[in-house]
Amino acid sequence: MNEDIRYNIFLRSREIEDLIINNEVRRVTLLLLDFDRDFDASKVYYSEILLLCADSKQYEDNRRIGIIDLDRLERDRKSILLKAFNLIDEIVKYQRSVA
Amino acid sequence: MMQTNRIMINEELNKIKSLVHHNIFEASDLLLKLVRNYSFDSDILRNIILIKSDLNNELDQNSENTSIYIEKLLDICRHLEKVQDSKKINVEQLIEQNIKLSTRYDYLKPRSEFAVQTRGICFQYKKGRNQFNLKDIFLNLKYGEITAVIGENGNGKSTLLKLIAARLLPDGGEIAYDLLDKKKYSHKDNVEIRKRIAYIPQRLPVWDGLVKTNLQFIAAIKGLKGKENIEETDYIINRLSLNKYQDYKWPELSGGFQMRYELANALVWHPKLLILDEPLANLDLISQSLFLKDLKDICLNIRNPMAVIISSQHLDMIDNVADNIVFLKEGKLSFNANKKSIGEDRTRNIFEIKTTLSIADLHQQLKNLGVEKIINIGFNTVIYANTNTTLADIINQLTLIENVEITMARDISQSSKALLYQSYEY
Repeated sequence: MNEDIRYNIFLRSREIEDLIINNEVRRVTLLLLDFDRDFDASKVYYSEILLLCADSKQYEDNRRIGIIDLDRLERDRKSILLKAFNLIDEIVKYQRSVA
Repeated sequence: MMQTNRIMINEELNKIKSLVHHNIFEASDLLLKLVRNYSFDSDILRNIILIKSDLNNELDQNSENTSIYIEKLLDICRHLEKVQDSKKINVEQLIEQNIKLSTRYDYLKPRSEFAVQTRGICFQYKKGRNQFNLKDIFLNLKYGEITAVIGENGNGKSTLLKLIAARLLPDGGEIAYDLLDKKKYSHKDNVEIRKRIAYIPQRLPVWDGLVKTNLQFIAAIKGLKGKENIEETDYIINRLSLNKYQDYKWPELSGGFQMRYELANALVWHPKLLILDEPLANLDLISQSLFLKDLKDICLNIRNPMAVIISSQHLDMIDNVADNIVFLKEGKLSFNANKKSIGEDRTRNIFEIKTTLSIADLHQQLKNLGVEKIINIGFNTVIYANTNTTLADIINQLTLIENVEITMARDISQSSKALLYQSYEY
């Protein structure tokens, strides 16, 4: 993998990790969308990330409105963040396989 | 050498273990730093990130599950000790790799070339009795950076943006763009330059048709055809959370989403320079912060870094995203530098407070604290004090008085508001 891409992956992953720490769920998925696109993996993971974006939007709406119980919200939050981690791994693996 | 590193890591782990019961946030920060610095297993790293995320979430919900998280962090510490002892990782090698990578990355940082450089541009404007001069403007707009233009009304912010956007021609000086493959420009190139700049004016234009078809149309006239056109519009619609509104017409959109559409419209064809004139004017607080966060993320895109120049009166919001601040006062540059340098060589601190006390009472109460001047600006009171006085000193002093309400207090000595307030008095 060339150095530019390594650097790019390093920065992107770090940025997404920091957003996960701060629970900025929607921004995690939006950056993931950029991450996926910039590594030309769109054909493989694009639709999965779009669904995750929709989930994160729904999560943030539910959280703001407060009609969903806290356990359910917590499950949703964790599930989105774990999926985000997995997708980062998948995109990096994909990029390595095509590089 | 390897032994030394082990000792260092063990020392850190012991420190974390003793700290975790007193300050779990600091302990988790230290653990994250340790794992990142020494490039431990990515599973461990992710566990810590999720614990930190949980901790922050718990904080939001005021819940108290800290003992569980303490145990989780201690488990990780124990695991790290065990991993070292069983020589499953070669710490020395990992450190070397880490150092090598960091130094390599230093050389690979994104390019910081200028998208636009203005050299002493001037512009004279005369309308009836109103005469206005913009004088000697020197600006450098870098890729990947947001430059905020601030100043009171009628000081030339919009005029400056229109000059950079090639909507107006300067009377003197020159503007160098990195947008065409030319070194010298003539006025004839203006049409070509305009085509390559995304400019969102203060008053948004009304358009016909649907959000999605309009975006596809704009992408098409900028040269994106067929599958690429569909992919790009689809991406930008999702990126800016316009999915729900893609079949809406202009009157059906709220002010916030009309602005969001304009941003999508500007970004769908990947411009290198984005100019926004007062984009926050019609947005509510949440929309403002979402809009600016998106803008920052998009501007920093490593593959396609973009230079952004934005004018706004919402200084608190702008402070969160701007890299550089340009302060215009009566058509001249009063400040033009990196945001971090605001207040570096200040001779006084500036505090903004909201309280029930009058200016005379404040003078009386703060007379021993090196306060130089107190004035009311809008609904707030601004206190100018010498650099030895801190905000804590002022609050401590004021809280000694009975029945005094302080609803807001902050140190603005190093924020862009300081530039505006300095110009009032000093």
